[in-house]
Amino acid sequence: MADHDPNMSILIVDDYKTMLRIIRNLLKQLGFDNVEEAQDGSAALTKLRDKSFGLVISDWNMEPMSGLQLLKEVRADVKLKDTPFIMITAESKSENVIAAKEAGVNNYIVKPFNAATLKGKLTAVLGNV
Amino acid sequence: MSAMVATVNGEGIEECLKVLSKSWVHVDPREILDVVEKVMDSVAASRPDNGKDFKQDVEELADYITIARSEISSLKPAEINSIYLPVANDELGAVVGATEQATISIFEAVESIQDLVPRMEPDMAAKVADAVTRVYEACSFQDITGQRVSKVVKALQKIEVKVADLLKTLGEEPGTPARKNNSAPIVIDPAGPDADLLVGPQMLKESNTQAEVDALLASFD
Repeated sequence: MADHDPNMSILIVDDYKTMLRIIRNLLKQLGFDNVEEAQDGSAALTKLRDKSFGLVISDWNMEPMSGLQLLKEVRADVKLKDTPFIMITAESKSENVIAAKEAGVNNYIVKPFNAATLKGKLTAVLGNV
Repeated sequence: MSAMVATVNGEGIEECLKVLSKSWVHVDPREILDVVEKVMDSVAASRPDNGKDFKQDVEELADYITIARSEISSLKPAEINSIYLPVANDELGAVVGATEQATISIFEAVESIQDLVPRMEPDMAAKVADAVTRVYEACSFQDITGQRVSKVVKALQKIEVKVADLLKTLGEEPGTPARKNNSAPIVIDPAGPDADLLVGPQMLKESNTQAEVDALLASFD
């Protein structure tokens, strides 16, 4: 598994500012300093079309565009379709996981989560972290 | 036959027949009367008392509806929308706001500690970093709390709409919400094709653990 580029940009998407801050700080502890934020799927999609990101970490339950809808938009976009995408959400039912997988999610973290889980999923998607 | 019509409803039915005979020139009003008589006979035949109390039954039903409506009105349902629901909504919003502020304060303190880690002895630095991480993990309570409160707020908003509909049915005003902006109840329903998947945080016994999610994802490989 190839190692990741520690300088790559990561986009984190969540409508709760406290969660954005948590994820940002945990990513910082793992060596990822180049992190940008968006508070819903629409804003995230605008940023994704504006610059290149090596990873998207997104919540699901957001308005006006949910994380699932964002994922579908990303996978449908020729330029964005290969962007690694991790869903991080309180939506934990099997049908949610299946829907996300069918939409092309790379990995799925259930809230509340711990730092070890985040690190594990990042490693699974990006390589050694 | 004319005598019967006059007995049933004074001049009312006769007037109706006159209007109908002008509109339906090919229909003999006597045929309409015949149909009405047959309906009345059928209703009377279905009752053991030959329909003598049919009018009384209808009156009792009307009285019942009036009493029920009066009792519902005495509960002051308009206050549900004008006072109680807005208060509940505002209080829940305050809970989310307060927990957010508290969480931000915690972050600021913890981030200050984290900035000091590079200056510590390695052993101490490792322990402090671990403690800082655990604080960040614990603070995710605010996100889950906020989502659960949002579910409650949405449920209250639906109740608000249903109460307003009930009041309209009763012919009453829904009541002015005791809100600063006096806006009409806003029903927030997740829109979009995947709305049925948006259920928010689950009760522990109904949710999948991370291990179960991982197993499910792995089953696709």
